[in-house]
Amino acid sequence: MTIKTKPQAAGQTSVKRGPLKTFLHWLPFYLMGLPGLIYLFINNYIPLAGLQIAFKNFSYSKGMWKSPWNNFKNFEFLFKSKDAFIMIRNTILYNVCWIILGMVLGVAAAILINEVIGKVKKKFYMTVILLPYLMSAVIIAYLVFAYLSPTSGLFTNMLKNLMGKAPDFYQETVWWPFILTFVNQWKGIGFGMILYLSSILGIDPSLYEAATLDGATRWQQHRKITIPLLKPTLIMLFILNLGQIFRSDFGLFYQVPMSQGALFPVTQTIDTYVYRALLKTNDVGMSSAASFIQSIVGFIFIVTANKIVSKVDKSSALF
Amino acid sequence: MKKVLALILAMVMALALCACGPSGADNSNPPSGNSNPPAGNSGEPGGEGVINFDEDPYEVSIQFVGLFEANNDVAAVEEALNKITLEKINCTVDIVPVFIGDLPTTTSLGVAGGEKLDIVVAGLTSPVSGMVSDELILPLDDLLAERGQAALEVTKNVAEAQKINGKTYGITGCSFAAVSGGFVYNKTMAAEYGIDMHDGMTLADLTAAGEILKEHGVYLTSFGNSYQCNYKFIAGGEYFGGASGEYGGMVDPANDTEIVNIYDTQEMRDYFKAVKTWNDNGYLPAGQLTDTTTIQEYFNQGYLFGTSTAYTVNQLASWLSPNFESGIVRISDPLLSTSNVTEFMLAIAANCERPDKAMDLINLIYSDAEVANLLQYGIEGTDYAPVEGTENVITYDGTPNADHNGYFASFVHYGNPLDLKIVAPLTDSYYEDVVAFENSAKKSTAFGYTFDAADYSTETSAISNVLQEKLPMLNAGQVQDVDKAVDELVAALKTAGIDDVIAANQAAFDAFRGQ
Amino acid sequence: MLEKSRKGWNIAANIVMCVLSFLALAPFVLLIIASFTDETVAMTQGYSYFPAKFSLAAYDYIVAQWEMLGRGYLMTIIVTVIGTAVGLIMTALLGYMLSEPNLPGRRVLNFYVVFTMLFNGGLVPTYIMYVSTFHVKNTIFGLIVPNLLLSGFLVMLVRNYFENSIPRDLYESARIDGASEIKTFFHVALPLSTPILATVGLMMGIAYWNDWQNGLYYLSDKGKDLYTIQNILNNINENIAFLATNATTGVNLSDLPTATVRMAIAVVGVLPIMIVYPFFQKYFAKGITMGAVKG
Repeated sequence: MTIKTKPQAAGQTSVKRGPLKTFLHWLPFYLMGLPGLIYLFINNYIPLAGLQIAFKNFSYSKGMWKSPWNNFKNFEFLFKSKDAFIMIRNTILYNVCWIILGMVLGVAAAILINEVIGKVKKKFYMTVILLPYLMSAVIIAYLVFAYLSPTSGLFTNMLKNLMGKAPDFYQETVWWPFILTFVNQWKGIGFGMILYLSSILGIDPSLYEAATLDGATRWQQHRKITIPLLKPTLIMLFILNLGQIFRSDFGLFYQVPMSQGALFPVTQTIDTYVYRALLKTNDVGMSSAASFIQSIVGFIFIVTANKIVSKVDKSSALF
Repeated sequence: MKKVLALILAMVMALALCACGPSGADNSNPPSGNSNPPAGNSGEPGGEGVINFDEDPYEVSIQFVGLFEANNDVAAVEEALNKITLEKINCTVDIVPVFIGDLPTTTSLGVAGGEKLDIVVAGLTSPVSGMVSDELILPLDDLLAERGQAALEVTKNVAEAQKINGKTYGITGCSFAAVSGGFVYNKTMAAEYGIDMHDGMTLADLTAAGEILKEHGVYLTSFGNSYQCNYKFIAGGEYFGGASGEYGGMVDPANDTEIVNIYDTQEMRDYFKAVKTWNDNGYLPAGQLTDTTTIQEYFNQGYLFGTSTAYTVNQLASWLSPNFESGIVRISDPLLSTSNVTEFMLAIAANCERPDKAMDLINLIYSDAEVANLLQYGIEGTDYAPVEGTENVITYDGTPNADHNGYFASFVHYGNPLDLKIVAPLTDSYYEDVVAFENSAKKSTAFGYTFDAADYSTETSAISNVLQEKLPMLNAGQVQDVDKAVDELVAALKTAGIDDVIAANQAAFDAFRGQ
Repeated sequence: MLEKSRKGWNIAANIVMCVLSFLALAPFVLLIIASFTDETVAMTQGYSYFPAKFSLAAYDYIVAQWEMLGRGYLMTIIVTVIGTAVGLIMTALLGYMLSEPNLPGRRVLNFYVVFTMLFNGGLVPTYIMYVSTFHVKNTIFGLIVPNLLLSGFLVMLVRNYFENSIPRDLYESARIDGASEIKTFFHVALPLSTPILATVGLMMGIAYWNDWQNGLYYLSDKGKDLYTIQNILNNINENIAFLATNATTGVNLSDLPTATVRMAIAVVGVLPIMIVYPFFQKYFAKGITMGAVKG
């Protein structure tokens, strides 16, 4: 077998010696990446066939291939209902705000914790600040409630004692953009801090030493060394986050406001709307349609952002 | 570069298609073969309804829906059941406990993934009509005619309500389906504070009770963050599309034939005003909308006097507390409506391999008291004990099931209610009471009618969201001005398209009555 | 020794970190106290840092259910350790491959990874594939493999680190010395990337530790023995959510774990990560010294 094919192969390679050699040279790299690529193929690419459910009247027993098409009926809710504007507005505004705030606070916290002298202190801060990230949305909802409950909340009682009256947080919309933003950042800052810190730790310390010798202040060092060197990471995370712009943290928007009807105008997002609709109808088509739209919008954002970035600075582009 | 990208994408798509093809086809083939189960499909060797004892016994799985129970004795119950089923219908039984919260996903994913599912519970968490339009369950008429005589016989009074578009998809566990509005309360407390609780109470009577309770620092009730139409417990009524009447309803279903938006009625406004008075007077907990503690838990702790519920002869059995004696009163007139029949049904999964054997077991559950009692209560002496001096009354006291550590049924109703034992404090008169209650019930004009809203999914999603947004506050009485809030709710429902849905519902209903 | 501005930064940093720590810790302390609060007091007066009455009742429940919870713990640990270890290796290898700037097809492969973060086929097709093709239902693989093993996001993080934080000359000199690619990876790239690997490993570990969805979908009653601690907690919450929206359903009241029990279970679920986490930080510290050597 090998003998038979060898001449052929040799014949081919004599013409295209370059490619084969190149391929052999890069083969170890491909092999290293292969397990991950195969996993992604199985876990993420094969199920993509299910995207067609978004365009079908799905029947569990017919399966996704044999269910009948129903054109764009599943997408109607996004265009026909009057709630559409509110949920899209909420989803996008919260996301934009949180992406930017999350970066600023995360980088600031990472730089600051890196300035703390003393291993034990550092360890303590890092462990504690990461705590909120570990809590499930249900538990966070209980905790927020413990502070803000109209009858027995710690914070409401404090306000009552200080000012004689306290707002009914769960019935008034004005507070929730702030509460949700606070909870989101409170939950995420530990994660962001560790993420950026690991990049900061990768920065060559000799750069700082040289800067110190040149008489640069710490502030200047961070401005001239830390931030510029974090830029690739920041740009990458920014682009990746843009891909999620049409999605929302379901637990945060559903559990934390205790699913209060009065708060829907500021807490309804695409995900919570679909979930609430599904409580009654169990309509897989609609949730697939929502997820499809979320993906497409994310896709457009990512590709556009990447294009812009690669025009400005090719090495920072994602792909 | 572009070429490579195109090539890879093409490859990916091709591979995705082949890889997914078989799995998709796998689960779609057997059910589509089954979806019209004719005689040929069921039991090849045997003839009409005859049980073939020559083949290897088939294992029929049956869902057993519960809450937090440990279900320790399931294997023992299966063993006891198998002795009977092997002999009578040549099959074994596999009891599959499911948490009630998981029930919808378990069934739908199970069918999609082609897992072993035979008898499934329908109606409990997802409406039967939805399961039918998703093709999760099989039509049963042919199987019933052939081998389900006992099941048909037991449910004959409600047979029309088991049908959707003329086909039967499930056999109800609620063959005595009459329900009236009711109020469960803490009897010990009522005696202590001298509160008069009696059948046929009115909103005013409950208000009076609330006043007495307030003096003792106990709340009358709580409605939680509920978006159901609570008015039901006072006046009954027919509600289409679930407990909040998304597709409209009828206030006096024994006589009405016109479907209306129930929130746009004077009765509803009056009810909401009464609840607002309760809330303003402090009969309801101020934090009811956001409570993380369930009403059941509050009731159990004596923090609440009682709660609105559906009245049936055995409803009280599920409101027993170790801390006090419970009681129940009937408020509205008993009514027989479709939704009470479809609340709990045994159905056969679309991907069931042997619908004939599944039907054999369903039929046996309805014909054999021993099988029904085993499935419902477990094993005598282990899971429950008979109460001395009674014929059929049992108790969990003194068994592992006192803490629900044995085989304990929370949400299931198997078989003929007249075959089943009953749990104390019910007494042997239950069997007469339940028949009398059923006979006293008026039949809704829409009995046997189900509206399929599949074509209106956009509207019903929007309606459902509106109700979830606006109804809880009205239900809790926490609005400034009831009339204004109701006006807003009605306007929002109109924008969401409830008029179109009701019109379609009315047209389908008229067609149904014309038959 | 320390210059003045460094000292000033240290103080400022300490102040900010103390504030952040307080904000993070205060609710957590409340969670712990709530789990020790008497049920009736919690119900009538709400949670408080100074409850009128303490009670161990919630932990009695946990001790009584220890057989189930203990097994849940064990499963959580097994799944977390295996999943994180395998996932971390795959992530690092793939990230390394993508970081090689001259690799033919690099852009396409990068896109291939990013694309997975955007589109997903949804639960139903994923479930059908894993159950009917790979038969993971009611096996431990059902807890480890679906969705969690590798995420495009973490691959991108690692790639980015390899690309920007490790000087390319180090690889080149290793290759000139005749080291194979695998050797270069293990002896040059990996030791220099402990900070990012510790970060990514931590994130994977947390994702596994907190996951309940795989258990919900890929375990049924037959796989009950494989339930992780989060599955148990989730089951309780889901059932309570069901009761909350179906307030008129009667239930067997003694079955309900009370609110304080749920708090106690949450505490029991979070504590192990708090204990393990400081060990992860060793690698951050190691990363710092490594960086010094590198310079």
